[in-house]
Amino acid sequence: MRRNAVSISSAAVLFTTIVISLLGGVGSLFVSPVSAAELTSRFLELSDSRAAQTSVTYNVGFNITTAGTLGSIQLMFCSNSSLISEPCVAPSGFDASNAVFAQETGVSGLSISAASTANDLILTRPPAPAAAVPVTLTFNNITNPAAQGSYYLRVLTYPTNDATGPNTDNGGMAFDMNAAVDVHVQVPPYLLFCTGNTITGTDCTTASGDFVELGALSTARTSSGQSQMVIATNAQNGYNISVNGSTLTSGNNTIAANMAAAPAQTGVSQFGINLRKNSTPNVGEDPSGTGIGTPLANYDQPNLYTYNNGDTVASATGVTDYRKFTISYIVNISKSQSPGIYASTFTYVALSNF
Amino acid sequence: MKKTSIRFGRLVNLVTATLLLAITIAPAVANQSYALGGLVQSRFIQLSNSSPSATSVTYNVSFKPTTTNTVGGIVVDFCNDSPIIFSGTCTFPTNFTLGATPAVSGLAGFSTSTGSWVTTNSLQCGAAAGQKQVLLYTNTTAQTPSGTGTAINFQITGVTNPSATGTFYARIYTFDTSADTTAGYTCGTATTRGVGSGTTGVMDYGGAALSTVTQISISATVQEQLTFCVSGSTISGTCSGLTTPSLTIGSGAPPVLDTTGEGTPAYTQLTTNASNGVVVRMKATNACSNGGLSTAPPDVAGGCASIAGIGSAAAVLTAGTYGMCVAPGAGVTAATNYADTVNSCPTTFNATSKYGMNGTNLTSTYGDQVYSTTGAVNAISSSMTFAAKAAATTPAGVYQGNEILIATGTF
Repeated sequence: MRRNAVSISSAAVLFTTIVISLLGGVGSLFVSPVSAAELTSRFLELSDSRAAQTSVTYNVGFNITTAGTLGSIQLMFCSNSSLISEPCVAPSGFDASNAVFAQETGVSGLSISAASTANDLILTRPPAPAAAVPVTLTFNNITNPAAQGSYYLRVLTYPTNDATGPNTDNGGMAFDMNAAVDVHVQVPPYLLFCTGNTITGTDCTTASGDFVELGALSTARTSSGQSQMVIATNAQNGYNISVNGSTLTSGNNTIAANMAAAPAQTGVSQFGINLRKNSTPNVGEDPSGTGIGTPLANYDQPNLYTYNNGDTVASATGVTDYRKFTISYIVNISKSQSPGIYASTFTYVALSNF
Repeated sequence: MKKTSIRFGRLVNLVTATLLLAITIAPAVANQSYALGGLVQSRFIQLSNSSPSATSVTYNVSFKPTTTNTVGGIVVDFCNDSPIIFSGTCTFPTNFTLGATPAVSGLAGFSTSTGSWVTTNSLQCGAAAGQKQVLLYTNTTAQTPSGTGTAINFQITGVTNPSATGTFYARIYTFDTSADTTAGYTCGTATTRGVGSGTTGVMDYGGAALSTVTQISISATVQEQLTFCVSGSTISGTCSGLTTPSLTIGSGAPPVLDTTGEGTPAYTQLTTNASNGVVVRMKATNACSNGGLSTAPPDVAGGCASIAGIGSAAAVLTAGTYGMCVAPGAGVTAATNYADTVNSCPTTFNATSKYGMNGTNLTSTYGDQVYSTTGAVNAISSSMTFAAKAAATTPAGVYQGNEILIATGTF
């Protein structure tokens, strides 16, 4: 009977359900007979991510998940895996053996255990209660791994003070050694210098005119004119601007230049320049612009004029942004001045001292 | 006489043979069947969960009737010992229950739908007090099956599986009327049954085997991942084709920086499964320790000269300043200080683009945040354009800066 009963059962639909439960764990799931909780919000912040760099600061952060007795925290730096079930391969070149424990938050009383190694930092204290709070641990003077790439840190908390026995919480994190960006810029020696009858502001593109007409010379009045020049340079030692050219000449006749700075005087043959705003006559402008530089003393006195071929008329001692100078020209003649067309060409030379 | 004896012996042999034959072909029922129907076909009970002691399990019962005689009651009895129908005994599957009042839904397979099907006549038998072991699903108005080729099907919900792992059984019966069901299917004791093949009204019958099993657990672990690379040229694939990120800002041969401004990019790529994202910071080192570009002696007599960072807020580069902007990839957000909201940070200098370079933050312990993600990303590339503009007063020389990029993932 029993055999027949079995036969009927066989003839029926024998139904057995096998349920396969697929547990996909993303993150560090520790398969353990006694499962520890996972530390949350864990990170490792470095002060320098360059391989082999020394004196690096490591700031480890995590949230303690399980409140309870805390006696030690273990930090294992590995090159192969963040999983605590796997063997930990020490990163080549990494060295925390001289680490200085600089700061702790969320916990207190921890210090580096003598049992720590180059890649296995153990912080210890007398076991005491710890709340489930955020924790940060800061270490100075760590040497980074020698090669670029990804590395791992495993953090485990223990109720014991020597990181032995079952851990309470654990978690892993990854960090990276990578190349730094080197930026190079070459700033070349730079000198901008322009002249003209007029220059708008300090814009050399507006420089215009190269001929100063002084008109008919008179014994009764001073003839005057002006030109302008702009300079800018990144020369560390500044610049000198010199003027070159003879005094006003007509054939064999010249109008004598003031060798020393002197006022304009009608009825006296004289030629002179300065780089200031004058009232007698009313000609010229004071230096302007955001740059530095001043006329030399002989050419820096209003209403006093001088000229010596080759004189330095303006200078600066360092780099300068745009600086504009206005050169004032004055001419007077005596009754004995020979008639003729008196002219000269003045060349201004700017020399930057790098 | 001998002849007579032989005939008797032959007769005896013939009778014996007949008896043996009868036993052999006896069906798997406790007694010779005289049911109105027969053995239901295509019968099964499908469980939604086979774990021992699982609760809220749905049992999907299905069988094909052998006749289209009207059905007033369906019985499903769960036993631990055997599926033998009409057996007078039924061992209770430990901790099994159909609930205080079995819940049944989805009844199909009848061509009529009059009256109401109820479970209130279900039996406790071996179940705990207030619980039910035997389902009596009855309708005072008997219903007509759609046909012998159409399964009668319904679901019993809220079932608690037996606590033991292994096989247990169900015995399925149909009755002609509700009254015959309740009168015919009884529990004398927790483990005895009053039903038999001669019970009035019983029609179709059949047994089924069920099983609770240990679950197979599979676990897989994925470790934390953070891959961050920096290159002087575009990055192909996953951090492949990297070139040294040594950038020269300038134009011409050799490249020099003038007052019009120049820029050049570096490229980064980030892959991580950090669920809380990644922050990328930049830390600047230069001779003047101000986060800009600087030159030292012999280019500069004493001390150092620099092209200083543009400042803490993204802005158009002015003469004598240095800055950087981020063109973020998908899922990446540039920090406000380094976001070019005007031109989306092209890889060449743009006079209207905005650049940032916060010297104070860049020279702090961990640097200044330049971009970030809120979650995991896969091989996402972002570019960073470094730009500078000389001033007329920027001393001649070679200026350098070393920008360290640090990625921090929060897992």
